[in-house]
Amino acid sequence: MTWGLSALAAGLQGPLVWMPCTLAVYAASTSIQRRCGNAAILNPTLLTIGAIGSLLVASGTPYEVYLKGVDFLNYVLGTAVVALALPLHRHAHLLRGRFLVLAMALVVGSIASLGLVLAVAGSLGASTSTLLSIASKSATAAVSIETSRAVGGLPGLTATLTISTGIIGAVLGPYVLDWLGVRDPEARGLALGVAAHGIGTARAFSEGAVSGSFASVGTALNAPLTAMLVPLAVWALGLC
Amino acid sequence: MLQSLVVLLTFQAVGDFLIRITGLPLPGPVLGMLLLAAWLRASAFVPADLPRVSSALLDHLGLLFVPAGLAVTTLGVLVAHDGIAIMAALVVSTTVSVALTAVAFGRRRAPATRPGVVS
Repeated sequence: MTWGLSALAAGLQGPLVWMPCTLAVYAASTSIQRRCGNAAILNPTLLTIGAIGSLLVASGTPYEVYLKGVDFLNYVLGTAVVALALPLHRHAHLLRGRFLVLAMALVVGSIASLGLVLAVAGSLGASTSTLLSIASKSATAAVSIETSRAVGGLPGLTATLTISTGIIGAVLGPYVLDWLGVRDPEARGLALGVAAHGIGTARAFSEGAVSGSFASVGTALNAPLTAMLVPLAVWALGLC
Repeated sequence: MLQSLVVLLTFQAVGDFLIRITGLPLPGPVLGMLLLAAWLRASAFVPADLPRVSSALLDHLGLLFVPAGLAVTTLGVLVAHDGIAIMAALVVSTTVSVALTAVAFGRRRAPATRPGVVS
């Protein structure tokens, strides 16, 4: 029995096991979320990180070994960011004639998000590497991770913080908007997309197509804006 | 399929290349995305199945964050130390950002008729 377990742990040290393992756990997590009425808290990425993380710890597999097996996914993440150009292009007609007011709302939301996250975390004594990792959290995860890498944050921490941001925005955002009396689906969608990226967009689509489309635009535009604002903020605050 | 991959991977590589030679603190793929958006707008060479290949990638976007997200398993001490600051910062900044974006956009009530918008 003991021999069997240690042999199993030794087998898991090989990198090839982890790609099919990650894909299978992710597929299972997606169907769990679907079966539970798309509850935002059952985010498949979060479930997969929890399950694979437990497996890595239980088998004593170092993160480096795991990364060797799934590094290909990091490369594809970059490709997926490039592919975001297509939804941006497809929704370009929504911008016609109101680009100015939309751009203003986008800039306000983006700066509020970045400024507040740094102010609150900083005043509660968060370390510099946490600040560098949390700054880009409202951009879609692919971009926030790359931005964090670019300014010297910890991409792994940023990934978790970004997904958490999406869940917080998707769960609490609609209550905030109801409380403010915002009923316009365009304003609701844009706000969820700017503050809570893809997960907020998924939530906005559940309120309707107009809301979802504006959320897509908000997410797609906030990604490059955040990627440009974060290095400026980091430089202005002398964090690196 | 192959042509679409060539387009996407080329813009990814060009973005990375330009960031390397200019030293801009912007992620290479973001520059690649902006360049591809400009390329689509100019209606230059666009493979017919590029939308399909792109949605295939974007439909499973969540999967692609898993490797980066798991690095959190190596950051236990940092997360334990900054946990409360992180949670407070995320909740405050995300909810206020939702509120301010919506208010700055200006319209609270849905207008009865909205010409020019396809829903």
